[in-house]
Amino acid sequence: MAYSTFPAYTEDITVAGALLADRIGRLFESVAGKAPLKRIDLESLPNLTIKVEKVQLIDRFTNRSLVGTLYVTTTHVIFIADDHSKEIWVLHGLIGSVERGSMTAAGCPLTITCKNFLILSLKIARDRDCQDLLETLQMCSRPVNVEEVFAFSYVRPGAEKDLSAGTSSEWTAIDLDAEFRRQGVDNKWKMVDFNGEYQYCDTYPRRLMVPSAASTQTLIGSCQFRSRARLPVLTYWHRANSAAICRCAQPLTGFSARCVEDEQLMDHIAKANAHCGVLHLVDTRPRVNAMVNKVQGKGFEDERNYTNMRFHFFDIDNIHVMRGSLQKLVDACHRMRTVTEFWKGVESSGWLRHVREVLKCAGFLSDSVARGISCVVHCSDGWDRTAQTISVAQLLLDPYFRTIDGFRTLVEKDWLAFGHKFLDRCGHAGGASEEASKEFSPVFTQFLDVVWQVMCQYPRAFEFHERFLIEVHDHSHSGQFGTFLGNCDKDRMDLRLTTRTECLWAHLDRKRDDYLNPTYQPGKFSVLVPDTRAQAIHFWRSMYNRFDDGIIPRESIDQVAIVTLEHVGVLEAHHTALQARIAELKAAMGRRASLADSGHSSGGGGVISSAVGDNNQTATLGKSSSCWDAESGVYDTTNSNSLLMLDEPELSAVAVRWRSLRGVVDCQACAAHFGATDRRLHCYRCGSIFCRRCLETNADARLCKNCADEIRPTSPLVTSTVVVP
Amino acid sequence: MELAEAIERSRVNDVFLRKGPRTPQPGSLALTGHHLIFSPAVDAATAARSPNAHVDELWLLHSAVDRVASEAISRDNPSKGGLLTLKCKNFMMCVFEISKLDDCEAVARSIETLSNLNDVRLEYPFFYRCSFTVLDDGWTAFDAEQEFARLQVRSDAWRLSFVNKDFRVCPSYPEAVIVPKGIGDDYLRSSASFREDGRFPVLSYYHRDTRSSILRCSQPLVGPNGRRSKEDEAILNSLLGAAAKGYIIDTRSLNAANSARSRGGGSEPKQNYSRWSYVHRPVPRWKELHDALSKLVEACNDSSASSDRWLSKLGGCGWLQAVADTLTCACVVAQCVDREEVPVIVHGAEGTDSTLLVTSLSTLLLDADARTVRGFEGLIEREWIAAGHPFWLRCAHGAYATGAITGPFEAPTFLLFLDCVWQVYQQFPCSFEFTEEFLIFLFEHAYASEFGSFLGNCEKEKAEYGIKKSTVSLWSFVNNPDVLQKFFNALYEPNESPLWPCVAPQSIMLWERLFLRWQRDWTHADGAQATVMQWKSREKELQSKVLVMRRQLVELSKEAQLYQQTQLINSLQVSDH
Repeated sequence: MAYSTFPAYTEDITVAGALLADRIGRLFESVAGKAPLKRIDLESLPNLTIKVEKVQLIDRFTNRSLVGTLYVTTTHVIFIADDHSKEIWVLHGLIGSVERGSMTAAGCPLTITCKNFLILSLKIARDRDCQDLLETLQMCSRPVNVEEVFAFSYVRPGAEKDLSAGTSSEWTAIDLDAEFRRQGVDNKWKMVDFNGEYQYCDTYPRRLMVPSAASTQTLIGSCQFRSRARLPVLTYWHRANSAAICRCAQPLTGFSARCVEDEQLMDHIAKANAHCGVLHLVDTRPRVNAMVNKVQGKGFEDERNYTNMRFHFFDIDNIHVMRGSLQKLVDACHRMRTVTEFWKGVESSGWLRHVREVLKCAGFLSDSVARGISCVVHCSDGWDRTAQTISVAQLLLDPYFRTIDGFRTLVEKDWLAFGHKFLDRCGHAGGASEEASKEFSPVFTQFLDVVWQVMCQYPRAFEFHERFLIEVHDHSHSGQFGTFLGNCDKDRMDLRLTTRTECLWAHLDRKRDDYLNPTYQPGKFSVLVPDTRAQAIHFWRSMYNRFDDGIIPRESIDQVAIVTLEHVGVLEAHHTALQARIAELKAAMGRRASLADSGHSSGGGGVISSAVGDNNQTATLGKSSSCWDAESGVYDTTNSNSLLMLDEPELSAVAVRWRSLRGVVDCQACAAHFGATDRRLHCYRCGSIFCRRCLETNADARLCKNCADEIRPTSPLVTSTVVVP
Repeated sequence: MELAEAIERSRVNDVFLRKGPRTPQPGSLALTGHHLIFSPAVDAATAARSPNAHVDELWLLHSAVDRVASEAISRDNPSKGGLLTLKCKNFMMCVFEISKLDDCEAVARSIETLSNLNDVRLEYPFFYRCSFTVLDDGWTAFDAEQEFARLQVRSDAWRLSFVNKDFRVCPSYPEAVIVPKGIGDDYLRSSASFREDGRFPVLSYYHRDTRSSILRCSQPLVGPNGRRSKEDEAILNSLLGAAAKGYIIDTRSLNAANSARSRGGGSEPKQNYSRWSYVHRPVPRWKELHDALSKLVEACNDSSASSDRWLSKLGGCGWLQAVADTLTCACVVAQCVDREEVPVIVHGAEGTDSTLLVTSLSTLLLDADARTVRGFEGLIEREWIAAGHPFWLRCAHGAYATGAITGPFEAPTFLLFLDCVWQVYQQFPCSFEFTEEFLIFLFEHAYASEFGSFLGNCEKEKAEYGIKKSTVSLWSFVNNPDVLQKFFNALYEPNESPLWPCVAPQSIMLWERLFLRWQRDWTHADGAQATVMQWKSREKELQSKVLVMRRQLVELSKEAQLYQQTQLINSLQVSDH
């Protein structure tokens, strides 16, 4: 009688949640080759460690349960419902925590909380099984040594050869020099190699951009005065007014210490910007936190010791606060039943407040730079809050960073190269020690959240869609790719990731069109000014409630938009082709008419010669339809004038109407379920909807297997054996 | 009262628009019986260049003003002039600086009077001259007889009753109502005497496929003595037919229903209505809504709020909760009809607010027609205007009116309905023929309008004041093709199946386009939406072009073949010779 709140679509309670199939299906390919999803024999998986039958999967909102079998392999946890209505694959790397409750009559509850915000509530029939599972999963999800991470055993389908040869061709390391060239950094700045062997600062990259006026002595002096030797270096240079953003760690000032070299370096940074003598020094921490650091001999710069410097504090809290905050937010969005409770939960989590603080600080930085004032930013170690704020600021300032390639550069530069501790923050390794759990923090997630907030405000300014952010987020935790492993550049060098693992960016590149924002208008926006009022900060439903299928709307304007865009492109091309064809036909008929008039056509030979003439004409006119070429071949073999014959495949090459997205929940070929946010693709020829794996995609078409088979016989390859004289 | 009497100053010069729907600028104010007009100052240079240039005036209906305030710019120095603040019913705020304080106060007094007229006949719709040709008269487009004719095609279980001729049985019902066929007018009269304000059960929605229906009425007057009406019971039971049971959905909580009983109302007792299951699905009472809206709008306007303060107000004001509750109740009703295939009776207390919310929303969920522009107009005309929702009372004031100036009857019930519709729309943006712009348009016109559709409290008042004769219907305006164009949703794909919206807290969103309309720069969101709409139209255009060209190609090729054959025959004939 009650309108079931979760998942609210009464029509398909059984299906809700099957969303994982496709997402995980991609992961699955890596383990067992390309077998179809539902027909695999899990028993024969080479690395199966545990199998537990009669496991109940509880839908925590409706309390309905689904009975199935749970498998644990060396790489995944897999739940398969006995009636095959649901299949869930979770990489060990994505498991955040596993908890068990005490035995009840219904079974022993086991909750698996994943880093991608999936929560599995299970009931295990036997206490011993439950304990086994708990111990195994805890062990699997937190390898002690980084080399046990899945990335080191993951082999991309089709890449076996590369790996055996000891190279993975897909890695392209970011070239900081090239990036600074792109920014157009002028000669007031220089690239230096004094950290070439990571001898001064092991969490920085080897080559650093510093003011040209600074001597190596100054740099080394500054290193010694900064926490972890992270001296101020350039990360962004604004072409329009040569204002710069530099990053560093907190100075070791204690209560009164000074460092002449550091003061000099700051002065050089200020002077590198000829237009403005003032420098903004931004400490992203709340003042209180900075004061506390003074006691430990660290702290913040004294404005009086530095010339022309303005000091600003921002209220961004530390990693421990953020960890607790996100935890509370996730609790709120999974436990709260009423609107009032939910918003109370969101409020008390403080997550939106923190997101807003980061955006405010980034807005301040971008505003300063846009006004021509250089900024130096630090927090404590300069790898968490600093990375967040300066990368958002760059995103606001430079349209390049709002493209897919630019975003990659941004992450590689300010997060990876400058030593954001992904290994620790995402918990890739380090065992289940208390130390490791204190290092865990959703700093990167929060950064993505802030980017998403800006995307909401400027929906046309970004080349990528939120799906891209979500994918990057998941893989920063999954451990499937080497890209986010290690804590800094040096770690990644030592681990030789480029030869031993796969690169995430290459993986994402293969599905690039999945991540495109349909409303992107390149060139329209330069510097973005974010609205930082409390009302402008939103809860990111499609991130944190992504796996609650019912909550994500079934009809999405974005999905319709991207399909429409693609279809318009296809139709435009078809339209042009038809136009050309009609023109050709008309021209051919006109010609023939004139030939006939002149009494030229006598006998079959005449017809052929005239047709050849037409054929040449089409060539000179530059009509480029491949069907057309094929046809001219056919013409000679059959010796009939097919120039004027209607080519059936040509008319049906493109579906005028594409199947509506409405109600299509699974791929029409393999029946894999689409998640609420998964991209659903159309076959250009028949207009039906498929998943990516069931479509053959080439430069100018996507075809389903049926359509591809149907058109193959008439492809140029077959007919080109006959050469046109 | 003559409107002119209320105008103390018909024109005030030296005014500066400090805050409003356009950039701050100097100008002058003029007052007419129904409008406040701000004309931007034209500097001499521009005036010289183009003396006849169109001056972009700002016209504001007095009835659109919710609250007027006037205060001195500087308390110590009244000669600095005054600030005139107009808070409008569509949440817009205008602030004018007026150089003389007494001018400012006079204007404020005039607007105050003119925006609180007690006589319907002085309202602007009676003075409005229709500036367009009416192609499709909104007053006759949705009348009950046509409605019934359409229903009759689908089912013969109903009849059109004129028992309420001259509004004798129920003052808040229209003259013609649709009731079960087997029930005579005497039964209806008797049921009317058993229901509050005479609102006996009438058909609200008939589901074609499941043959079940939604009926609405007001609470039965059971009272502390347990009155009963055999006739009323007979009406309800006549609906059941083969169905073993039906549902009575009460939009009040159990407690509220019980306490209503001591005041003469109550709920249908089990022993008399044995084949009906009684369900309480509390929907916020209209009295609570006004408060919730005021708090929400206040929070939205507070641009310096901290995140915590904003979120606690957003969650705590009760508006989103009201939306969620209403939507849930409507979903339950729709589910009973569509899934369980049983008849449903909906009532609250008076049956003019929460009842209508629920029945109209369930209709929207179930009926694809109601999601077209015309169907939606019909739904509002039938389930709100004709069904006797007291628009005149409820919409007298909006969110800014609190305390003494608010009467006891104001409530944003209709806005809550529109918000619920928007919630469904944002979850199913391709299933509605109109965009949210239409909903906002309706919201504004319900509160202040040049059209007569939302004037008066019921059909009876419409007839008494001659509203249908003397004013133009809103639908006459909307149904003009030029106007209609603005509201069309290019993404619309007719969707025959019922909509089952999600009512989880995460899915109930703040209607930002409405509540933050004046706070946020909407150009980017609008631009993105416009782009999508353009592609959609381009897609349609290309589709039809391609089809035409394909046909042309087929024709051409046939022609060519024919031509070729004749050529061949000719050449053969030549060689024969």
